Amino acid sequence: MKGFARRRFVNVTFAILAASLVVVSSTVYVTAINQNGFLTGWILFGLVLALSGYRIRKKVSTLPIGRASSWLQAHIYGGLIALLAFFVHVGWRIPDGVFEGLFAIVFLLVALSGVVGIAINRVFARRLTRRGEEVIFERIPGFMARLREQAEEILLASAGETGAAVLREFYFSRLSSFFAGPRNWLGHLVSSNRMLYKLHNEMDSLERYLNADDRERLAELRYLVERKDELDFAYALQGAMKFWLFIHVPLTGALLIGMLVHTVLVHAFSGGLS
Amino acid sequence: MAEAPQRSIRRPKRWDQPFGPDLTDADVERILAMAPFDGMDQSRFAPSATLRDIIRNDARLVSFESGDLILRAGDHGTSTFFVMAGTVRVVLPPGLPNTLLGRAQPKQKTVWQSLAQVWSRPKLPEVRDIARLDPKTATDTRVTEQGETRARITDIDDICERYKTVTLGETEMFGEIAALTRAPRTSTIFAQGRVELLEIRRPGIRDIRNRVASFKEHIDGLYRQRSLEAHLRESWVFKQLDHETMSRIVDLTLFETYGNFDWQASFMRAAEGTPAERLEKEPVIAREGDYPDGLLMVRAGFARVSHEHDHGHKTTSYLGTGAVFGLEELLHNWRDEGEPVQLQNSLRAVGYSDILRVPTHVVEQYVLPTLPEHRAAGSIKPTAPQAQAQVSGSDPVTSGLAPEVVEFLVDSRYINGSQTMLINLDRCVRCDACSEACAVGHNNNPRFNRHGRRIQNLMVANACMHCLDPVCMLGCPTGAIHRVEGSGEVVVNDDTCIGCATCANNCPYDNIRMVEVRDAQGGFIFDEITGQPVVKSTKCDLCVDQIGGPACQRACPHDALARMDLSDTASLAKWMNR
Repeated sequence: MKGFARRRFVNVTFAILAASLVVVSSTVYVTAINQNGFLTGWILFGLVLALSGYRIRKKVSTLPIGRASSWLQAHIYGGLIALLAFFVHVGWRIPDGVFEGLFAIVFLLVALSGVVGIAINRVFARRLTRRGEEVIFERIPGFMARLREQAEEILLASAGETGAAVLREFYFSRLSSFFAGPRNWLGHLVSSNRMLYKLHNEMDSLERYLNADDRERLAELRYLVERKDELDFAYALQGAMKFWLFIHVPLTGALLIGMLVHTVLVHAFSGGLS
Repeated sequence: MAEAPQRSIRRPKRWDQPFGPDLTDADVERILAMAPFDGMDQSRFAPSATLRDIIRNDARLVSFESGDLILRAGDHGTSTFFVMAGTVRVVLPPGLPNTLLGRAQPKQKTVWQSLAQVWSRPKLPEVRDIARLDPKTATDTRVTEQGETRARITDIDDICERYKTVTLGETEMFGEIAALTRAPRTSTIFAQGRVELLEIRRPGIRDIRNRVASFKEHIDGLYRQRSLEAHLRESWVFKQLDHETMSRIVDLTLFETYGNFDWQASFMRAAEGTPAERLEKEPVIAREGDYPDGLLMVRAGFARVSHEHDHGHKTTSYLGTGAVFGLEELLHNWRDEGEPVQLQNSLRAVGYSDILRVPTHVVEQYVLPTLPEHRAAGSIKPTAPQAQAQVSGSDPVTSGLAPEVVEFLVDSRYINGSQTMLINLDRCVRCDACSEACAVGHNNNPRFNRHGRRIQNLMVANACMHCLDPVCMLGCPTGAIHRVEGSGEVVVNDDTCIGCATCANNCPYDNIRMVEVRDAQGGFIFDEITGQPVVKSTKCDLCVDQIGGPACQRACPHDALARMDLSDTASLAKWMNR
């Protein structure tokens, strides 16, 4: 076993041991003291606080407090243990109070967004590598604008000529909106090239009405359409890899606040050991 | 299809751009009349490159005022100097402190300073403390009539009193070993009074060495005496030998140079064309199928190991400083195990290579019998398609690396990098945590671009590679770009950088950026004389002042980014095959 496989084996082993410890200690605690929820509650509290520390680690990147990759591993496996601790804490049922219910939903959304985010990262990074050239996300709108300008220049070049109406009409009806900004976001995420296929078909059927000059212009437009599709692809996948954090991180903030309120309420209204 | 019109140009010649265009006929006569040139047999030179031609085209006269720094210890240079008039002072070890040489000694930040960078960095890019840019507070420099900037020492008497120095006078030579071996200068030398020097660039000094036996003997003698044993001992092959044996080997070792010393200038042109055309341009050091007439060791530069593969050549590995070639063939033949074998691979100079050739009989007599048992094991079979070249201290070099990756690294000359930024694009989620971490550590200015050439899922990002052969350091007029003593990172001293862009133009990888700097209020800073913006050279400094080392690598949450020494191919293969 080498590299990442070895790391995964070690991490999974530790995670299973830690998870077992949570379950066993909770069972023993409930059996011995008959006070359900306090121990797992505090374990969850500690785990969620520790998991939030990953965000701080990312901010203080110049301090020698361990590699971010080690922190991320701890974050992932710690998150999975927290999920288990949560289910043990709520007794494997849906909480019935309004606040508890909402609070549980927030927790599950944070966990779910984290799991989906990891999956997105793993899959989309590879897909981006396999297709097209590497483009920096922030520069994509600029590249798109340049493509739009080039497409409009091609159209402008035909403006003084008689005819060419078909090409112009096609551009304004189909391509101008395509070049206006990022398109086919969802299609690219699910590996669908339906939009590009459709545009190619429409351009194919257009050719019979064009003269030699316009056919050449159409070929140039076709090339720009493909380039734009590459940018749309990069924009969609890179965007998705950033977007899930906009769910995960703010919800974590809400979770931390809810957690504090929940802890105060539970202790305020607990009547001591039963 | 119509053929493209042919264009003809005159083929560029060696001396199209003389080193010293101002050199007159009278100057050339004066130089030829003085030692050591007056004693050289001019008939030994080829008619196409006479001694007079060499002096005329590869030499120049330079003047220095009292206190001007001529060479700095640790700098890289390609010239040799002869004292024409006046005297110079050589500072003996331990030499002058870095502050006197225009260098900054990086000071590591404290934990608190590291943390404070998160909130205390300027909002705008490239903000500088204007007081530090003031020449009055920086290292003393002067600009010559020709517009060259010279760093200088103001109090020579004090330096001579506090540090050990020796004087060199007229006709004496210095800087030849560093120029010929591409090693860093070993001493700092400054002008004592007004000095006129003859500076000869490397191709010229190499030609003179090749043609004049006494000059060759002198230079080779110096090299043998000062450096050769240490260079040979860089390889594990010679490590176990005693001093006496080494002295015998040193006496019989040959030095050879292949390729173009100024490879960086033609690198981008060389990168064009087909792989076969690129290979054609690389001089052959040893050819597959030839008799192994010696053990070859790379003294400086790089070499490509390849073997014939159908109609082309497959690169199987590359060798850097200290690596040896041909050992397994020699071992096999020495043991007399069946049929003797010829060289199983070819060795070619990539850019340039300085080679030490230890003849076969010397290797058989002194080296092979003393090789450690585990190293001498596993010799090649004559039918094997290739032998593995071995690098000092490591196993066969490219095991685990895909051939196309090896070709890519060699063709792009990335093998020069000792801290190359590699990104595994299959793992990189394009989060830019690396760039952000870099910006935090550099006053809000990321010192690299998460962009670069790629092969398969491997990207070589545009970040300073802290090269083994740092061509960026050639010609810096103030010594602002330098290696950090001890750790070896190539850094720029912002206080003494004059923004001439010599380093940026020299860097063949486009990893140095020139930036216009601002004051704390955000306004650009201008030169009060020219009215032009003040420009500084910026690059990755490997977070030399940060307590945790390179922030980019530590900040990557997905283990996608690493700073790798590409001469350590075993580690590279391990990283790529995790």
